[in-house]
Amino acid sequence: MQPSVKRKHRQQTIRRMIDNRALYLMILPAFLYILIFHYWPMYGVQIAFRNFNFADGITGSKWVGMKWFNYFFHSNNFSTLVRNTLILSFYDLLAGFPVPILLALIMNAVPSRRFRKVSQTITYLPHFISVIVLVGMMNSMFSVNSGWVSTIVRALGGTPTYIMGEAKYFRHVYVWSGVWQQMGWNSIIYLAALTSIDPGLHEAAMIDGAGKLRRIISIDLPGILPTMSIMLILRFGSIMSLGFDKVYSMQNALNYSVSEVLSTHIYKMGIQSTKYSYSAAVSLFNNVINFIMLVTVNRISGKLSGNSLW
Amino acid sequence: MKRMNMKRVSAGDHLTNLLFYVLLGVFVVLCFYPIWYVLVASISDPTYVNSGALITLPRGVHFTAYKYAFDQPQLWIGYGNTLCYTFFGTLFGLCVCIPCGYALSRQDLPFRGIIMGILVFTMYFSGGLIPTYVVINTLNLVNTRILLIILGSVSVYNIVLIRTFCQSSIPEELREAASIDGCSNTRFFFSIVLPLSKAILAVIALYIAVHHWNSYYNALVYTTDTRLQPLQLYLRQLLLINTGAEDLGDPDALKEMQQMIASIRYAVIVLSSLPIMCLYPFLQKYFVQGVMIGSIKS
Amino acid sequence: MTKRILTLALCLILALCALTAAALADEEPVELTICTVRRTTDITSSYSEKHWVQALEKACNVKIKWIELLEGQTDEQLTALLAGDLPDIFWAGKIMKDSIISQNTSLWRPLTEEEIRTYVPNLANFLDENVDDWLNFITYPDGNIYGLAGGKMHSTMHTTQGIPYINTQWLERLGLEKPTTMEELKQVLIAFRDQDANGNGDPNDEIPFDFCDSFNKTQLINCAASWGLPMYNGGNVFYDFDDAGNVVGAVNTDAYRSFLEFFYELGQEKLINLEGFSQSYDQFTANCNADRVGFFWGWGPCNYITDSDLFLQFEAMVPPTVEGYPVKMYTANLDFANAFRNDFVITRACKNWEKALEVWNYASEPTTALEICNGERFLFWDYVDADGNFLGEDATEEDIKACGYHYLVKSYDTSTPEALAAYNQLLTDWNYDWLVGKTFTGSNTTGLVDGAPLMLEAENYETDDLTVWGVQRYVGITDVLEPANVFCPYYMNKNIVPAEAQEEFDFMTDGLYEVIRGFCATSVMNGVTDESWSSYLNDLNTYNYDFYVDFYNRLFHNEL
Repeated sequence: MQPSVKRKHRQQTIRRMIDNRALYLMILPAFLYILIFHYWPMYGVQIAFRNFNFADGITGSKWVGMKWFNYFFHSNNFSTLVRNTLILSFYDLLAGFPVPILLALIMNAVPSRRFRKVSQTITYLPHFISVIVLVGMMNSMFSVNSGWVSTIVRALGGTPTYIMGEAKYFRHVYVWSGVWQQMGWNSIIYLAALTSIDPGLHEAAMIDGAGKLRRIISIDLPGILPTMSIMLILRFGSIMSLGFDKVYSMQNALNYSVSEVLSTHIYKMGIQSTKYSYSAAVSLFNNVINFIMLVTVNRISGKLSGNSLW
Repeated sequence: MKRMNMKRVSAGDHLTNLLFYVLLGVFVVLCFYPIWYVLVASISDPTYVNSGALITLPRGVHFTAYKYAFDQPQLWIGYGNTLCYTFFGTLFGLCVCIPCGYALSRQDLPFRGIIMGILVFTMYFSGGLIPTYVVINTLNLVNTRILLIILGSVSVYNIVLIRTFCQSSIPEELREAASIDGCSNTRFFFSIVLPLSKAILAVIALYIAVHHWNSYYNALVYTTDTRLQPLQLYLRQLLLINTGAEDLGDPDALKEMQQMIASIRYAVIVLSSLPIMCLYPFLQKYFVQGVMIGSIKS
Repeated sequence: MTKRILTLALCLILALCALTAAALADEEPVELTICTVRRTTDITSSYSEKHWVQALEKACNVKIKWIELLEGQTDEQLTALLAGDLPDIFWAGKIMKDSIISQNTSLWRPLTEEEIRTYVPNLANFLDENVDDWLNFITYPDGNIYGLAGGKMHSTMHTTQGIPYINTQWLERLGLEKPTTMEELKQVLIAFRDQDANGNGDPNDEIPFDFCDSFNKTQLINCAASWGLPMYNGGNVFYDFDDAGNVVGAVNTDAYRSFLEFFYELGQEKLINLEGFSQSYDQFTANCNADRVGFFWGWGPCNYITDSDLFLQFEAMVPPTVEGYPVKMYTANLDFANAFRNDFVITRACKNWEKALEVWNYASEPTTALEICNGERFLFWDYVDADGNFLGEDATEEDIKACGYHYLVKSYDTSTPEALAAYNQLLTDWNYDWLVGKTFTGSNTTGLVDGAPLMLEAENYETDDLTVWGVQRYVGITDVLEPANVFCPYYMNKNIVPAEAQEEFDFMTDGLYEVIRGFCATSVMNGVTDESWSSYLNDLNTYNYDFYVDFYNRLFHNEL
């Protein structure tokens, strides 16, 4: 580029900035919030490299360098923890991502407006059931001695198994109960995205004789593609941080081999055994992986579909 | 549009509709059963609930859990606080997030990528519990209502959603046309963007409201004053009551306690989610397919 | 003249002013910020509402500002509090772990023995009388004392492990005897399984032996006691003692393998409820309450069963013997079983530590301590004589001493409208208007159960009334288990682990407990093979089981 072109370019940028100063003002409150409540505390990340104790505080505790990271990388559980976390996360992503989209498309396409509203409200309700209760419900449902699922299995001539007990069922139960609980809630954003599709497109397609299924695939689906890509990118960005509550309440002696994940490890070491620096180090490791995932998937998405976070 | 629908329903579409009804029906039943179960379990004898004898109808009806909960002054204080935090928090969150999300959706805004990056970065890196507490303590915001209102109201996730929505639903030509007509950014935002984004406004309001309604962690960490604590924190405590308590004195009290504890977790869900569950149907009316776009385009 | 009168008057006024000022200054209460734990079942809206708090403030001339942490969620709250502004005092033995104290020693005000003897004589006297060598218990590895002791001491109920209970009515119905050996127990369980032991007409709904792995008193691993392995999941006690009192391995022995194999057989024959590994505590208690369970290990039957007719059917028994092995149960520390070392910790932020000690001295007086724990005497509890009669308001200090400070919690009849009205009137008379008509649970409502001052408790179980809470267990321990001499003669004393040793231990044994628990559960489900056993021994090696055993050996001999 010629220097003069460059200067011109810069002048243009400044011009646009001045023209759009109102837009910067719109960003300002959120920016300040993030600055105060997110960036300011970030100096505390250093406790991952210190031996934190309350008496000396964040900046006064002794430096220990990579000690906690070394502990973590060399611990017997390291590979198991990472593997379990990734398997559970990816399974959750594969099963949990498409279902809400499917649900939203179906709800949007059902002709009866009343049924649509009722079904929206009901499918969104399970979101409010707390994890402790959800696990308790599954325990009594699947109980081999008395649960009604087992009663049905027996009536059909089968032998009920310890669904909540055996390690091989843990991942399925975890993922599908989550899909069930969150599908209505997660479909809301797609329903909102569907509202912005121009009805004219549908009318035109109908005149061309396109059937309903056809229109959903070639109009609705592309219409919510940007939202889908962003949601996918964001989910990839939290691949290492599985919710702790549910795994922890579903954990028992029979499924440790698959249910020990990073978040339960951080809880046990950090909060229960008060190893703040160690848990800060493990969290930092998690977040770095998450961030790398996010950047990668974001780039891929930007190349493939033109949708990206920045 | 409705008329056209009726005219042109082919046999294939009939089949599709039938399939959709059946599928959606299955989803609805799947989701309704547990809700019903919770409702029934909250008034049933816990022995039936935990032994799996409870399937559809309540058994051994009693209201111990509700009576216990209603007797607690803390429950009513919590309700009041939660309403306050949810209402003002949602208001604050919308006022901050919506303009920001829209501004970042503008392709012609210099440095939007950098700003976006700065915001998104905080979704992944945070100081953690201790430093955040130290900062808030420095700001003298511990044990204040204002903190519980603003903390958690602004989330980058919501900003990203708004930005994505605006990018895909507010056509660039529209803004160009408006700016040729001499419409300023502020006016364009208020008179065109806001009316066009009702659906996303409703979604974000729902997200923030539900987040506030369900959140207990901030109150747990940043308040020690029971008068400021929201409903969820108190209800969570009820869920965590030490069931194996070994130092209860009075056997009658213990008996009542055991019955109460076992059914209270179900009652807690009913009590805590009923009001927020009712919010959704009110917001649904904004989920009407693109009526506005067509009219404005022409 | 007038001048003189005026001067005199002026002098008088001045003197009066000075006097009132002095008096006022004297009466100005000292402000203390105290952090404590609030029970969920607490019905007061703030601690300042409690009558004993008001009495304490008056007696010690202090004004207390309470910081009430929430029971069950204290971890995060405490973390935040320690990072911010410290209160003057932590009055919460249950949450002030030794590790928090020893990792942050400069946050607390160290105390000396002289200071305790001078300022807290009530506590010192109590400890002199009841605990040998108590200074050792409360002195930290750096030689300082940071906390004052509190909590309930169970001087005779000295095991925290579950004990076995069998349903005697089931035995009677089937014409069986209490089993004494494991083989006999197996036969009893078979009878429970095959016949209609609970007499409800359905021979198939009995669960001969139930357990619940998620609740530490009811875990299956307790049964290893019959193989001479006193283990206890709750405290992660996976070791044994040899005859010389040294800590040795337990979960790598042949005895342990034989225990697992035996229970695998029981599981295969449906004599134990294999769901025990995954079922919730609620499911376990539901089974017990439905009269479906014949045998279990646990704290006491009344903990799991609400109906007193049903829980009285259960009787404690000696763990059944296995040929070639002694029966051995885990024993907790005799003196400090349920007491807290750090119940009352004064921080560096406290300006008036003498006043703080005065508060604890006041609280440690026996009757006051009981009031702090249980609420007001006469209304909620009272001392009882040998026959179990309440002493009443006329009792003198001598009478109380004569009865050995035995007390019982009072319960009131509210079944008829008249009785209820009388009870409500009583509450009103005692100035507890806010309790009228409310569901509340005795002592938890008005007392400070989780941080009570130091007191002896065991004597309160010495009553013939088995429906009184905890008595069944007490009788089981003193009348059944102790005569059988099953308690391990050595016990883990509560030596304080230095901060560095704790850190090393946590990292070295990370994942070890999961290996042990996981193998126990999978073996009982699927059996033990030579292969699985040797790979398990390998795992124990990898996860430093040897280090674990050695650590406890050194801790036991105070060599850390």
